[in-house]
Amino acid sequence: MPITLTVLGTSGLLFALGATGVMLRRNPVAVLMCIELMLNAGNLLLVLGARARGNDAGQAAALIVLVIAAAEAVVGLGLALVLFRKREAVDIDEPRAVRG
Amino acid sequence: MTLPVYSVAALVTGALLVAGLAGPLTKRPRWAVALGVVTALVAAYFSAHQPGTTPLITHAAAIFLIVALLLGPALELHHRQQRPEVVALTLLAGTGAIVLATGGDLLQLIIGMETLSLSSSLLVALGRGESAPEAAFKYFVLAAVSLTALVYGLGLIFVSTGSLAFPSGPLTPLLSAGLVLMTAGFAFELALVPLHWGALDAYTAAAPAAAGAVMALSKLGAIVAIARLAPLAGGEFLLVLAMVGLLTAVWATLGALAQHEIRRLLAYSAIAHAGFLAMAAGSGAAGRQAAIFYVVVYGATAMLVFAALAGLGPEPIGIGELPERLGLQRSLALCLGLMSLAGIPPLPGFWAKLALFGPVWQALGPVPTIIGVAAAVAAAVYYLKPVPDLWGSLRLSAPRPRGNAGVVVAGLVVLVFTVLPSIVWANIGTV
Amino acid sequence: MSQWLAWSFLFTVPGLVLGSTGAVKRPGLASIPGPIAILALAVAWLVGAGQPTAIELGGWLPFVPDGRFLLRVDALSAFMLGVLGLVSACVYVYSLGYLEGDPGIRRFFAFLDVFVGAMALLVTAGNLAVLLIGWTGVGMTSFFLISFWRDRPGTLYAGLQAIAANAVGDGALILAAVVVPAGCGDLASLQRCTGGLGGAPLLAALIVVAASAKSAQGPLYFWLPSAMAGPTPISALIHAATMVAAGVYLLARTYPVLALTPAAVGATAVLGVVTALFGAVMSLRQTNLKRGLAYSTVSQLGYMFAAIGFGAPFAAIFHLGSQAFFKALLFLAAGVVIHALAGEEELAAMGGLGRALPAAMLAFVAGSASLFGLPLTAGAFSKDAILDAGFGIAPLLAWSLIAGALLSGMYIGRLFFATFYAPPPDEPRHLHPVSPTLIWPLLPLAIGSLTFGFAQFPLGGLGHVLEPALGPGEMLSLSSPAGIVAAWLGLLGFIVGTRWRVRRDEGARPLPERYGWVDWASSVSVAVAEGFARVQNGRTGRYVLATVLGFAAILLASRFG
Repeated sequence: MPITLTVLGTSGLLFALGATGVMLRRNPVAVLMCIELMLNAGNLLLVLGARARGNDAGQAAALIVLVIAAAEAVVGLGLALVLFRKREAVDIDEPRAVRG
Repeated sequence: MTLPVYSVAALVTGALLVAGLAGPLTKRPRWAVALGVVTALVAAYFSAHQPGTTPLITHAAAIFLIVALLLGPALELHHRQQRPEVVALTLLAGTGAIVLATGGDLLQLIIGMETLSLSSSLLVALGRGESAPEAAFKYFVLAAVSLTALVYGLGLIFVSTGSLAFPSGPLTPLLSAGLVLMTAGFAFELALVPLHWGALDAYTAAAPAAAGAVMALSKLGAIVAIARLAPLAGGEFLLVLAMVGLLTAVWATLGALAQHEIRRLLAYSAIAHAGFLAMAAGSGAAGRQAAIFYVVVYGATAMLVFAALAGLGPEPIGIGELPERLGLQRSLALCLGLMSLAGIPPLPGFWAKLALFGPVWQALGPVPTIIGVAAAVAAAVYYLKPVPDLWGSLRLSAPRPRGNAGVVVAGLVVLVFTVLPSIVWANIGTV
Repeated sequence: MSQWLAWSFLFTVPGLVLGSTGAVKRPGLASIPGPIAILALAVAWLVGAGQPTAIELGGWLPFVPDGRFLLRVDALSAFMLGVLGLVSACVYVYSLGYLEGDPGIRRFFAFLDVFVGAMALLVTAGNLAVLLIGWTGVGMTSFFLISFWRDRPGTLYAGLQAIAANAVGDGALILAAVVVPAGCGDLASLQRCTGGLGGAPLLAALIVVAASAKSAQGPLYFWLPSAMAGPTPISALIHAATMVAAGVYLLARTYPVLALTPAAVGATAVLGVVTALFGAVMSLRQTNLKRGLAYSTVSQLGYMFAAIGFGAPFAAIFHLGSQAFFKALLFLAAGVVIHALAGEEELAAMGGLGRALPAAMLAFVAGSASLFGLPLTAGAFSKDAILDAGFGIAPLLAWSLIAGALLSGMYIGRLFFATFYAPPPDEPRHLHPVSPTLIWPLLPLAIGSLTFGFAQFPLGGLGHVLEPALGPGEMLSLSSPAGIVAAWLGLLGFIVGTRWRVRRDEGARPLPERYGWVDWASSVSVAVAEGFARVQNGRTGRYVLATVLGFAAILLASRFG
């Protein structure tokens, strides 16, 4: 079905963009934003899949995933704040005390 | 396997209650712990009486929760106000593990996993010391990345089958890709190589009381979810899973050999055991049964070991320092736990290994089994190295850090599993 | 009575509880009745021709092919229990004196109690699952006892060497327990369990590997000399008489399985002979009394393996009994010397002790005589049985063992002379008084070393008793040529050995022996391990990259794997 191909293509592109960003960016907030992008790529699949398959459960699932993503953003930003509050460089590669 | 709804409801209610009453409970932390323990017991009771469920998962989770809660005072927090929060978070982590394991459809699995991951990240972060927030952030970031894989996988499955339920039809490439992505997402929770980085640091830097809970619960939830999901992706994927498990076991065993600090050693050991779990999960129906047995027994042992180390402060603890710093009860508990991890009969760690290698041999053939056995027995060297010094220094008068009730409960559970492994085995049911 | 004997692994529990909790004031006293009870019951069973019996509790370990808790008492297990009971009773009494005043003495007796229980479980085990528990249990207590003295350097390293070798054996036995077909595992009918992948040859190979690890044969010998870092009573009980003999016991018990694979049997014979000669030669090079006796143990165990390889499990078990007597005797006598010299074990510091320690000297003579095979001693008869079997199967190997008899005499003669009659070192030497508890236990062991052979000669009593388990036993005669040659060679060797001077300037080798290749292996593995640990470099960015790539790899692997 052509719809499916478009859906897959778009979401795949978004996911790949997010993945690239998450691998390359060093700023914690940027990393979290890229993660949100990847999550929304998945959401896109759910929403458009719901339309393609005629099952509204997909839309409900997407809403739930949005809530999860929001909760995650809260926790993530909170943790990032605690970690980077006292540091010069806001760079996720900087904190290296735990290793080995 | 159905979701024990009343148990989950009980746990959530308990968590909300504790969180809501956080103000008054700050001054009475024991009440918070008591409330948490009662909640866990209520949840276990409900699951035993709800028809259609195998209560093993809930009971195991409840045991882990109770031990973790009893160790609460040993959590080394920055502020006393955080104590009720810790109770609430622990209960929510338990909820997440149960939902992850027993969820009725794929979305429920994701909800459970996220509840577990977020609670775990926060529990790790709440410890004292410089490295706790760092480890928590790393764990969180990787958990978030895994979540994206989970959601995308869910999306792929939904587009293929049009439903959020466990797929049962023929495997299209899209469906199989979705299943693989979701299982890989759960593999993060299990801490398999190459997804284990955050878990390793989290187990090291968290307060031992929290680390034990996080580790035991995450493995419990993740392995059951993987055991339910992986077979649906077909035979080759099971082989991939088993090979990833073997790689993890070897990698972590080797890494552990280089460790001098006890908590990092135990973190690597946790990864190694995750590898064995994955090998079992990829070894057919008998293997999946063995994996569930293994995770319950291993979880109890891990709780025991971390309980013995709880409350000793956030600085690294060298292996050579252990005899001076542990009192009689904790030394005994640590010896028992280390010997169980090493797989010394009649301790439950040995039963778990026995249960595991038969199905692995049947499914994967001699070479992976021999490598796995070699990793398991080689590990005995580093597990047992501290033990003679601990035996030799047993004294009744050494200082005793608080939180001993948790050690006692964990020890009793391990002893029960030693003598009656069939208690666990008989209740596994079909997965 | 058989029912009682089956539960003998629990006999040391009361002593363990009473002793370690301090309920009985004098440490160790509460534990003495345990081994005596085992001995008494075992002897009663053997002479009273007790009935074989089995105790079975089903459903204990549902996840192995044969998960019953199965204990079986028959003539072979009763014999092993008798050996265990006798030697451990002697060692317990001996330890009361040897470790008197040691701050860890309660811990010592606790470990001993656990060891005796585990060993009893090992020999009464009816299936592989129970055997594994006893097997690993003795290995664990051996580790704890080797590393018993925490304040001496190197005892932990010695213990870890034992663990490493043990791990190989345990791994092999675990595999054997899980790869047999469903329902299989009963030791008495293991020869019917050959349907799984690999079949009978695999099972035989696993059993031989496990036995070699426990009995320090072939490349896995290295842990036994290092194990001398533990207290001498332990060297006598665990590393001479009982635990190391468990490998031989396993081979004898599962002989019907081994017999299905002639290559395995042949390999065992070659392994035994090579190790027997190797151990003897190495003993001649030792400057440490205990180390010299340890290599002797390696050598004698080689004789037992050779007996199995010659198709004579009875001869192997017979020699097991002889060696238990004379080797334990030799170690305990050595212990008297070491105790008198306040812990000195180097031969260079000994000499001239024959007059000062007559009991130890006589005990050492008795043990040596049995070891090198003076006619009419136990060792002579059991060695004769092995040689008889060998000449029937592989004469070349049997001749090698006869050459080994010469070497045996030489090394024990050398040790004897260096300890008791060599000129003492120039510095004045103070001898600590030796309490009677160190002397009395030597007597039963000496009597046994000299007379145990008469259990089989000339009426074949032992053979009859063990026949249901091991097949017919060799009838011995005083005039077998191989036996006579071996006996004379042994005596000759002993005399030559007494002429062998231990060079005083050789210096002491530090405990434990640092083997080049073991050190190399461990430094390589530590280097590899540190490489793996370095990958975890703490950078979150790296972790994320690896994780994303990891997901991709898993996805690709499952598409193309």
